[in-house]
Amino acid sequence: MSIRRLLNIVPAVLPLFLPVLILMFNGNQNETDRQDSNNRVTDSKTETGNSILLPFKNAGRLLITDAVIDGVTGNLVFDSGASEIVLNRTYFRNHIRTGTAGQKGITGNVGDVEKVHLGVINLPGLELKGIDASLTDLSHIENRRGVKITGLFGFELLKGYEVTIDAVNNLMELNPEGSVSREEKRGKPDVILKAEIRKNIIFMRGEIAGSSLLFCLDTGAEMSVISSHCPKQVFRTFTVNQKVTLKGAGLNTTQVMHGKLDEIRFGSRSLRNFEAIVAGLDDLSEVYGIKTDGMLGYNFLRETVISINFASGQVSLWFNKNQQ
Amino acid sequence: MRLCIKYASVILVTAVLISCGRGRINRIARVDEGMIIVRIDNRWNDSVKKEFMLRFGLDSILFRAADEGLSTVETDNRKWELKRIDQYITEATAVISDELGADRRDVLMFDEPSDTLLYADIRTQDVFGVNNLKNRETVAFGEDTALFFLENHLEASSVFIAGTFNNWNSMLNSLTKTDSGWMVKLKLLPGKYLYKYIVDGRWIIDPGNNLRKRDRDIGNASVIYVPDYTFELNSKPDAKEVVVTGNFIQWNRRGIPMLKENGRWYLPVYLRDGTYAYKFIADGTWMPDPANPDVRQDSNGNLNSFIGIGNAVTFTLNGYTGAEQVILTGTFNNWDRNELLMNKTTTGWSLRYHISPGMYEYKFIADGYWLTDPENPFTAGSGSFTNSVIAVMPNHRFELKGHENAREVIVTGTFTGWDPGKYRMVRKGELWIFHAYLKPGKYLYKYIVDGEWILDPANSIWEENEWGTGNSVIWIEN
Repeated sequence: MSIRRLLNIVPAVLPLFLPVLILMFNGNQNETDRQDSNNRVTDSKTETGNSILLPFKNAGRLLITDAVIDGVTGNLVFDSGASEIVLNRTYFRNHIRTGTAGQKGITGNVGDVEKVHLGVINLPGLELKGIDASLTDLSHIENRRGVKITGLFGFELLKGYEVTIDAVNNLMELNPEGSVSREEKRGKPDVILKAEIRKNIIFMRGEIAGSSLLFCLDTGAEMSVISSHCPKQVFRTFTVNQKVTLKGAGLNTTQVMHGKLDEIRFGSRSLRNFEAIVAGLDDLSEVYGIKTDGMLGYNFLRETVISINFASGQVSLWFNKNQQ
Repeated sequence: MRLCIKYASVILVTAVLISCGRGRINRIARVDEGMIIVRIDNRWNDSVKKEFMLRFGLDSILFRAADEGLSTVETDNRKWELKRIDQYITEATAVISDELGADRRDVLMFDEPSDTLLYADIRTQDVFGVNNLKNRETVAFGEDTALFFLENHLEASSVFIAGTFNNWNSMLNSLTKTDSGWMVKLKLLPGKYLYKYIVDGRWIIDPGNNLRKRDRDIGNASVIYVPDYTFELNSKPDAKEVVVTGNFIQWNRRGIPMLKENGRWYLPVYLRDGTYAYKFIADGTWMPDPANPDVRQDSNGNLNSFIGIGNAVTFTLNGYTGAEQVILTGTFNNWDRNELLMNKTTTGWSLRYHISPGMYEYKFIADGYWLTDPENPFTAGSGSFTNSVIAVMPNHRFELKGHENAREVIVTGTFTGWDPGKYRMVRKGELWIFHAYLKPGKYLYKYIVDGEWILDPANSIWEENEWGTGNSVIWIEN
């Protein structure tokens, strides 16, 4: 079709498509407004450009921080394996639902997940407004750990920051992207890795017994995980120790094998006698859209200080002194 | 010497045997291409078999199948393929089907209770405690208050204090800057507390406090005892050393050294609610407290001073004036039938007794006849197993509106082990009520109205249970 003929047609069909075009334009604008208001970090207590230090506590091997969510006081678990904010239904039943979806949990089906829109989340040194979250039953964490858990949050809340996790000192540093790197204070990282970021989840490569494997960083995992489908040579370096039980929502429990890897390597550095459990990660890989060979959990965090720069797509690691 | 060598040899041999045993167990399981493979050795003795079953969560079915030479067996929710390797070894292989969930709306958590001190009620854990502060300004105590002072850190922009008194909330209690440091006054009941400061987001222990405790979850934390009693001795101004000892430290002869100021000896301490016997030791000489008239003789003829700490409860029984003796007994003294003899009054019987905060069941025994407290409408149990119930220093009131025609309303939950007979509520005006003392923490509960279990209609906070009927939830804060 020639351009001239096309120009002739446009005036004729324009009235038909105009309402649609207006709707599309308005729709896009609404979407833009919504994105602007969604998950916006309002740093009310620290000067702009300064780093924010978020103090953590432990509940078992979970990292938790104080939070006040629309007036509800409690603790949020920092779970970098969660691609969105998840709240404990117990405390947010009366929030207006914005949708539902069927979901599966770590040890099976946890039923429908409702969506809610929140007003304000206050964390130490941070105020976040206009957050969308899903609801689920997290009472099993409360009942096993004896602490009030209002929800989970991952990197979705921390976009726009370079995030440094120092689990040994129960501390998270948030530096606005583009600000002076905290690495100057900490010294040069031992290792810098390229990170792949999917659905707010951080993936990075490590090596076991010569096999290059892709791991997701999961601060909500009390123990690191190795996929049962890793290559044969990986498991030649794995000593099975015992069976352990994982607790999921409701009455769900799963028994998995726990053991130690002789060595896991990141760049030029390695961790020896690295504890892990063996489990299938196929379903998880499917959801992430990337073949995941393992999860780096709490025991990994205890051995390193890790910094994630979303803008540069880099992960910096400082290994604790007793590691090689 | 020979004996030492003999013992050393025994220990060495035992250690080698243990390590060999563990090593054998350690090498028997491996993972290969999505399969778990275990090697079963028919030479194992029962203890090795037991360790194997315990560590790998397997049962004896697998051993029997291996012994019988079966090729497959189903146990532990897995299908095991068995393969005889040689006359001793059988390899059992099963698919690892432990698939982790597809969507991460849950953490990956071990199924183990947290044994942390972080959220436990430690306030009344210790019977006795005394502080060890570097100087008096570190923590100064007032009437149910403690003034915390953190020296220096003047460059910081914010300082918070978190501890067992505020559920380790790092956002709740901020300190105010002074010209030499930071301070905050907190309202604290007597007891033991763990705490830390958060200086610009970084956790630190109190450098002015020598008393510390280490915990898996919180690392090192500072420890403070908010005192509820001060031992004092004014009659020995020239003594070189005075210590206090008593049943709260098992009459330790070294005692706890007292402090001296202007010839007066004193020692602020925390003592859990209860009754205590004590004595001073001034330059090696044991003496009761000359300022305390409550001196009792023990069975050895020694005179000891006595103090009661906390709220005393006065139990009274009207009537029964013809009885020769009335005994008070209950959960506070493990239903001892001899210990607490009540005092006769003109109208009945009475006894003042120090008990720590809590829920207690009790009865009177009048000349061998057991009876509930006629003046107390709160009860638990039924028939001859009905007991009177008292909440000492209650901190929560359960209320249920309506149900005016109900014959019986019970409140039960995790605080009674879901006992359907505890506790019976009392009708007052438009409400059924029950006063309770609950230690800090989370509680699930329900009401039972004439046998029907219901959620608390006035509490919007509830969580799912395994029967799909839900349980109401309350958190009792420190």
